Amino acid sequence: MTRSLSQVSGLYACATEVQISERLVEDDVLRRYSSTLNDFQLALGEAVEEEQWRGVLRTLRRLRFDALAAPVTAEPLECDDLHAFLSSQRQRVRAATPEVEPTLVSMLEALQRFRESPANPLLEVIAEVADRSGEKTTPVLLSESRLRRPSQVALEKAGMGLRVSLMTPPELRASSALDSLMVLGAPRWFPPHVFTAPRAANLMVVRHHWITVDWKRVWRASFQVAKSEREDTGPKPPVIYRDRASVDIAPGEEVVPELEVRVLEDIPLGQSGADAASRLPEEGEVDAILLKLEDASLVLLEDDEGNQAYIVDLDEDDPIHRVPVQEVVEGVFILLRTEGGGDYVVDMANQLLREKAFPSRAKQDLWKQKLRDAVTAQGTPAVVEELKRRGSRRANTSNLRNWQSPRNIKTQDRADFDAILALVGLGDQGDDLWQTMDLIDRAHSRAGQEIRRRLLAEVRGADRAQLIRNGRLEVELDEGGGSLAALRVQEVSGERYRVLRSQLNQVLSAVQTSLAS
Amino acid sequence: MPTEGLSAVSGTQVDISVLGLRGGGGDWQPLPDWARYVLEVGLGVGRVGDEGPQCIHAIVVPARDFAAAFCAAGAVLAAYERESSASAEIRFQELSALPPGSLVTLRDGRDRRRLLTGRFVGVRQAYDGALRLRIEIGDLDSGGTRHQVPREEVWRVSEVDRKDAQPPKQKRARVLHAINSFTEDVLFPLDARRFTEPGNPGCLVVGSRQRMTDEAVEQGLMTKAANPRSRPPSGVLDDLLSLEKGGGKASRTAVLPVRSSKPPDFSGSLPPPVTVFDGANGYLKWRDRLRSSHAIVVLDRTEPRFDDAVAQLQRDYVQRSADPTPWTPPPAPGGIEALYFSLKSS
Repeated sequence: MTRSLSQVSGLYACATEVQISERLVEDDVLRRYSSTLNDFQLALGEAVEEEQWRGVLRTLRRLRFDALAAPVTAEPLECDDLHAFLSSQRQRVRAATPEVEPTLVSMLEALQRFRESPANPLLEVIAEVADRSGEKTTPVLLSESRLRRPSQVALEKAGMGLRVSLMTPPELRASSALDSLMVLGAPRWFPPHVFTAPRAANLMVVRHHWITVDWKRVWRASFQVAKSEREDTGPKPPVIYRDRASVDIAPGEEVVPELEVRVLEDIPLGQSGADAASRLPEEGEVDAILLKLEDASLVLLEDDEGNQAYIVDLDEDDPIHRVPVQEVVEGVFILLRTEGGGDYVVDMANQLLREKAFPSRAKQDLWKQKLRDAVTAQGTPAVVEELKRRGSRRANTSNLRNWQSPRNIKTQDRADFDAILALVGLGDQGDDLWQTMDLIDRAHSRAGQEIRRRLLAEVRGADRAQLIRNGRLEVELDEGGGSLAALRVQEVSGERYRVLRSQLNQVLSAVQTSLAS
Repeated sequence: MPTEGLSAVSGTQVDISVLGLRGGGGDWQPLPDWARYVLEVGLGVGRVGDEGPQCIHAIVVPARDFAAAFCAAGAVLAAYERESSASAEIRFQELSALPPGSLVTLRDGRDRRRLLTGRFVGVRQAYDGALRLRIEIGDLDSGGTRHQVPREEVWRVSEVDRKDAQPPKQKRARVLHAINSFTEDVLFPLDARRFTEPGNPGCLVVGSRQRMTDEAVEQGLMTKAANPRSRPPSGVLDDLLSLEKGGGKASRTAVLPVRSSKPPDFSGSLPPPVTVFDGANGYLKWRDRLRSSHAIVVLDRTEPRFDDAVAQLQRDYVQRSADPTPWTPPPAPGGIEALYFSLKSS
C-alpha cells in the first residue's frame, strides 16, 4: 500500500500541528480496588514471588489494567474464581501471617465491589464523542491488541459496534491522517510514535484521573545531542488541554501497569539471565529466546545458531525469509504452530518421506546418539583429533557440536561422515546411512519450498490492511503440516532462558500462563 | 569553511526551485516543505564530493514514504552536476574551436524552453578573466542580440549540423523539442541528452525496490514555467532517479534490498557517492559495509527498530570529526528531526 504524496503531507501536518486534549475520568470503585491491591501486595512482602500468590496477583493486576486501558468491566466469572481462591487462603494466612489477613479481607471486599460495579467511564466518553461525531466513525486506540475483542463486545452491547473503530499502534504505522484519535489510558502504555508521529492532528487522551503522566518524557528529542549541534529543535511539545486537574495521589497509589504488560521476564518460564548462564544445561534443557507475540501470546525458541524460522517482513520486496531465530526482530511476523509444538519443517518432511520417515529418522538418531556418547566419554578435543586422524577435513569444536544436533542432518562432506561412522563403529553402513541422510535432506528441502510457497500465497492473497490490523495470518499446509500461523512479533526479550526442550515452539497465552502459575 | 545551503561546490548547478507537483488541474504547485528539504539534503550531500571523511545525515520523519526517493533524486542530480562539470571544459574547447560564423543554437537563459538560432562569432575574455563564447542571434542592426556564454553554461550551446544553413535575419526562438522536456527542464543548464546514457549510478538506496518503484511513478511532478502562458512539462520522480530496470538500460539509482546476502556489485563503474538508507533495518545491517560513500539515513518514528538505529547513530556521532562539516544543511521543517556530522578519517 502506497500512500499518496498529499496523504504523506497530511502526516507531516499532524506532526507539526498536533493538539492534545486530556479527558480525565473517575471511577471510585476501580480506584479503591487498585489501591487495595497495592496494599495487599505490600502486605504480602516477599511472598508475592511465591508460586501460591504470583499467578493470582498477576490476574488481579491484569483485571485492573484492562479496566484502566479499555472500555471493559470486570469479567464476573473470573472475579468469582479469584474471590473463591482468595477466600480459600484466608485461614492459612491467618495462621501463618496474621498481619496480612486484614488486607486480604479488604481485597476480597474491593474485588466484590469491582465485580458488581456497572461503571465503565471509558465507554461513556467514547459514547459521548461518537454521538458528537454523527455519521463519522470514531477511531479509538487501544494499547494492547488482546483488548480489542472484549472492547468490541462491550461496544456492541452498547450499540456502538459500527460507530467506533478500534485500532492498535501497529495499524497507525500504515494509516493516513485521521481527523481525530481517542487514546485510552496513560501515554506511557503506548509506543512514543503515537504522540511524536501522530496520525491525527487532534489526539484525545482519555485516562483515569489518578494515573500520572509526564508529558516531558514523551517529547524527548530522538537524538540526545546538544541543541546547538542539531539542525532542528526536536519535536515540539504541543499544548495539552485538560478538562480538569489531575488529583493528588497517595504514595504507592499510582499503578505501574506497563511493568505488568510489557516486561516478559515476569512470566515464570524458567531461569533467566546470569543465573541460567552460570551453569551448564542439564539433560533436556536448552537456552531459549522469548518472543512476545500478537494478542499477548508468547513463544520460546531455541537459542541456537542453526535454529531458523520463517518470517514475513511486509517491508521487504520478497516478504518471506528463513532466518536464524537470533535475527528475528519486532514487527516481523513469525511462522509458528498454533497447536502443539515441534518443528513444522521436520513434521512436513516426515509426511513427504511417508513410510520411510520412521526408519530414516531412526538411522539419523543412531549415528548422532553414538557420536554424542563418544563426546561424553572422550571429550570434545579428543573426538576432534580422532576424527581428523580418520580422514575428517572439517572436524573442529563448532562443527562437532553441529553434527551432534538433531537439527543437523548430515555433514557437508562425505569424508567427515565416514570418519564419524568409523569412530562410532558404524563404518560398514556408510553408503546406506549416507543415502538415507541424503533422502532426509531432500525431504527437508522440499518441505521448506512447500512451506514457503504456501506462506507466499497466503501473504499475497491477504488483505494487507487486515493483516496489519490483526497481526496474524493463518496458514494451512497440505502435506500434513497442520495449522500454522504467522504472528506479529511485538517484543523480543533481551534475556535468555534455560527451559525444557518440551517448552519450545509452543504458542502460549500470557494471560493463561499467569493464571496457571 | 563550510558553505551555506546548496552552494557548496562551484560549477554548473541545477535549480530545484523549478520542481513542483502537478496539481489536480494540471497546474504547478510547489513541493511540500518536507519533500523540498529531503531533496535538498540529497543534493547537498551529493555535492560534498568523494574526498574527505564520510558524511552522515540522519533524518527522522513521521512517515518514510517518498523521503528516500526525493533524497535519491537530489543525490542523482548532484552526481550529474559533477559528471557534467568534468566534461564542460572539453565541451567548451570544442565549441571554441568552431570556425567563426558557424551556425549554433542557444537555449534562452531566462526561459529555458526557448531555443534561439544564431551564429558563433568567437571567444572573448570577460572582465573577470574567464573566457566566454560569443553568440549573435539575428542581425544586430535589426534588433538582434549578442550573448556571452560562460564555461559552466556551455551546455546551452549546440552546433547546428547543417553546414549550408543560414541563420535567420531576425532573432527567432522556437520551443525546444526534447526527448523528455521535464528532465531537460530540471537539469538545465546541464546537457540532458547524456543523462539517459549509461553512466555511474549517482545513488544507492538500501530499501525496498518495489516501494521505490511505486513511489517513483506514483506522483506527478512538474517544472515551473518561466512564461505563465506556456504549458510546463510534467514527469515523475523516476525521470530523475532512473531506477535500474535491468536489460542493460541506463540507471542512475541502484537499489539494494535490505535482506540481500551480498553487497551490490559496482565492478565496471564507480560506486555511488551517496547511499540512502531507507529505514532502520537497512542502516543497522549494511552501514559498515557501505562506508565508502556518504550516508543519508531516513528513519521513521513508527519503525519497530527506530530506537536501535537512533542508538547506533548516537554511537557513530561520538566518532565524529571535530572539523567543520563540508556543508550546512538548511533548517529542518516541521515534523523532521535531523542530525548531520562527518566521521573522523580512518
